[in-house]
Amino acid sequence: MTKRTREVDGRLGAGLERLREVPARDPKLVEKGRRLFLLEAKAIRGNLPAPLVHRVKKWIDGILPREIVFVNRRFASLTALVIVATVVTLLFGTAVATAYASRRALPGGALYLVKTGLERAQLTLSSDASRETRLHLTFAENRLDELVNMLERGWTEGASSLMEQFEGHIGAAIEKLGAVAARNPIEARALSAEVMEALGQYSQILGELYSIVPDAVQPAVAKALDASQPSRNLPEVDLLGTVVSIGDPDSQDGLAIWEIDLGHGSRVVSVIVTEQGFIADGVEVGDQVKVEAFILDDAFVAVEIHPAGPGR
Amino acid sequence: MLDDRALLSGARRYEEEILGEIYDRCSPSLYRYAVRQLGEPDLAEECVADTFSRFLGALRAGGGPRKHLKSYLYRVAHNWIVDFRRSHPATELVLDPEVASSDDARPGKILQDQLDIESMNKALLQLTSDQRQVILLKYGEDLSNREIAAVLDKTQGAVKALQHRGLAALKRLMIGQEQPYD
Repeated sequence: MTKRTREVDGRLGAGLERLREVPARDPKLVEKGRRLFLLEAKAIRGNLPAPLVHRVKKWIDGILPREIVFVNRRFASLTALVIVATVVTLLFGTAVATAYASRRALPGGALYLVKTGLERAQLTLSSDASRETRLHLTFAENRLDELVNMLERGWTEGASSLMEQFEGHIGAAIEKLGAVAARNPIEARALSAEVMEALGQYSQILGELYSIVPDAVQPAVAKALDASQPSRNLPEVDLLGTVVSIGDPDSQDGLAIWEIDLGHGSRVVSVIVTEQGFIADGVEVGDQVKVEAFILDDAFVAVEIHPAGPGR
Repeated sequence: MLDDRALLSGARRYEEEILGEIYDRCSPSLYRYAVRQLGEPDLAEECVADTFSRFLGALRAGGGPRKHLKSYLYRVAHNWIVDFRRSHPATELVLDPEVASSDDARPGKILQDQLDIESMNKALLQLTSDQRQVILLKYGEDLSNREIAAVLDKTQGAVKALQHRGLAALKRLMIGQEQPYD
């Protein structure tokens, strides 16, 4: 008995002592709760897209011992879809209704072809590489969302194909980003920051999913995770301009900041030169140079700097 | 061992190690508090999970506890249980007679333990909600009057009064005519 319950005599004290006894916790539920808590904290810290994180949480919540009636949930989803499609049709007409209803479609579903068809149409109609980059990121996220949706329902067939499509969209986004970089390095720098942030989020989600998806799906998730690592997808640019200032090569952190005037009304940009960067001999302030760089976290990091004046 | 101030400082930075320690330190007592009132371990775990989720939500919004972490978490769990009970009125509290921790396996002792538990179950349910909360937090969770006051948003004086009246009511209800008290 505790000191407190000893102070209360007789049966009452014994009864109060009984308050301390409760059913033991299920270690699996304890571990699951801890994992969910830390995942949510990580999401807040990394500003992951809330709806997708919520979906991942809800899916994790459902995979440990609780009876999930897959058939009923599938019917419930279809019923909800029909109701939404009916309401939208009455308000806006058939075409829009079909497009709206297809938003939540999954592989194998009747409206999934409509969904992916609409995505292809958006890409075809776009004539801007920046917009196409963003579209591909959106479609990559759609594939990730569909994967989570399927896993919630216990479906694994088609998961590998989904991840291949996810990788395809990531590759296409990087390719389009390269096209933007060739045309406008400054625009590419800003766009790259968006792309890298998105890739960081996807790799984080895929990392969490990898440890809990069924074995059959793990290889596909691992490949997608590998493809979405930001460090593997750094876009490269060539900058042509005039050296405005040269950074201190002996700086304490080993990084020298050069200023390059890109001319033609563009801003002067800063370029980070690391100890691994190569600078041709004789480059001075005022020289025309070609800077081969990659974009990292909204910054240009030089790989090589060469003179680029006439006859060079 | 880190104090509440250090834990809260780390929590506001969403440091995984600190948050893990908070979970490990506080979730067992939150679970015990919840399962006594809700009666179902799974439901109690849901209460614990939502409590920690609301804690993160409060931190994200710039709120959350300034000092007393444990009392804050108990309060969030308490509010969760109150909300749950509004839609699912309690018909009984669960103190599971099968989990009596006594190592004494004599049949007489086991029977007495079961009678104690059943009496306590019935008696607790007849207290007012506030009296019941004070008794559970004081004797089930070993919280101090100051901590209980923070959980229930009352003064320490009010907590003492509720404890006194709750115990007196329990005595009357449990002992009754069987064993008169002096």
